[in-house]
Amino acid sequence: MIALKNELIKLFSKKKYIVFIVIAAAVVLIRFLGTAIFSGMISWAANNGFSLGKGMASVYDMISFNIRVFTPFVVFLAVSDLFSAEIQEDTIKSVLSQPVTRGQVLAVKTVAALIMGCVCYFSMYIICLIMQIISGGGFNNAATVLLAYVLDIIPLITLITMSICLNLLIKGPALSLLVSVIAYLALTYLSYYNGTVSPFVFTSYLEWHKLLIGSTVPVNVILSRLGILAGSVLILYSISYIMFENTDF
Amino acid sequence: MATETVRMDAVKKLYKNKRGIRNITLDVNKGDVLGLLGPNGSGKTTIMKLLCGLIKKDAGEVKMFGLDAEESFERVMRKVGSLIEAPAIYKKLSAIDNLMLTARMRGADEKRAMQYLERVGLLQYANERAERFSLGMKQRLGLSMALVGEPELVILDEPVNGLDIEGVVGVREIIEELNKKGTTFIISSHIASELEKVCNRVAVLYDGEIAAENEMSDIERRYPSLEEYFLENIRKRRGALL
Repeated sequence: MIALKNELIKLFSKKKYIVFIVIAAAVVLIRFLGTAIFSGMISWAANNGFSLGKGMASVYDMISFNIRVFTPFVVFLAVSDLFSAEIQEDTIKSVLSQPVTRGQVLAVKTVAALIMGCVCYFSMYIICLIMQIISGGGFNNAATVLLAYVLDIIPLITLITMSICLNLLIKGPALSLLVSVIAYLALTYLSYYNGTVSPFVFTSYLEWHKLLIGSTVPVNVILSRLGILAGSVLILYSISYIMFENTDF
Repeated sequence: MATETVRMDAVKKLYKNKRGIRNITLDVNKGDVLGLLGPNGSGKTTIMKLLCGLIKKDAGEVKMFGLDAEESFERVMRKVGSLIEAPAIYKKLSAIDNLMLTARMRGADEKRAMQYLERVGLLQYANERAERFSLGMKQRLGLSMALVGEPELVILDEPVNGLDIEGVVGVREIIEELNKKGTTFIISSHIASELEKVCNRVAVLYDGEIAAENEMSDIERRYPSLEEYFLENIRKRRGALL
């Protein structure tokens, strides 16, 4: 726990994550204002006078952007700060010469990246909820969408392990971040446009909550997808562990 | 009878460029201040990194406090404080925050961390970001990080790098004071005059091997200075290799 606290202190000391949350808030605001103004103009065109659409903003609206664009970038950045940047700046020496094994260091850094991802991810939920309340939608569906947000954390772990693996392979935080983004884009492309491969690519299951939309819960589908995600995590984490354990610093 | 703190037996570690250390056998007893003296690239830092678990040996055995250094890593490292090469400092954190990262891991509280900042002359800069620190201030902060856990063995790689005269004397006083209390030190330097003031034993390294090893008292009796002892052994080894 102490090692985890240390990793979080290091991450949260960087102001760029706060900047990212502010940018995310701006994106949400622009998106909601755009929708509201557009509906207002339609109302004006229909000779009903210009009025901003009441209740136009929904807490559910930004979940895809959040889980597919915003949060992956934040976790790639966090992983790059926790691994590549520490290796490049040589601060990793101070972590590795403490009374903790390398396996523990790897685990703690993985959890720290996940926590940072979750902080930014749920900040976006709160921003969306505030916008919904301001636009007159109240707390409508707030709990259901929160559950969807919680479910979508599961595939996030796979993204983190993929990025860790790449960070240990590639030297330099900027290059590691770039390669993580490119790898993610490539896998996302495969999951969208290659029907043969997409069932086996973990990026196909980022919006995990969509499995639960409908009257029945597809238990078999959930289990098979969970298997693919768990398998991906296991493979990527094992590779990362072997590399981290055997690297000279 | 002397208690063994470190025992290296036929240890080998070669990097991809074939440099590193070969056949290093070295004992460090409790209360020793062992100086590792050698030219650049002779293997001083490699030995220190091995003892801190930053690199893994290719062959041989490393025992610390009677335990296998790799198998019992956590137990061993609780008793070891280190400053290897440049101090590992997080630029965005303040001096006290940097020090607390190590202090927490070693069960020390903020009060003790502040005491060590005072000891290295950085108390007035405790809340200042480390990115504004000079090389000497970073070195002093690195030293406080090595000492804050009150370890039994302190490994210092070029500890006076970038320090002014007052800083150099301060480091020497800290080493002498802690050594009197029983702390063991392994200190590397390429400046002989620094080591001869604090060490009771010196090992001369050349090309990844121990060229000579002796008690400081014996060196003082037989040579005008540690520098002479170092040069004689280096030349002897260089001649043997040619």
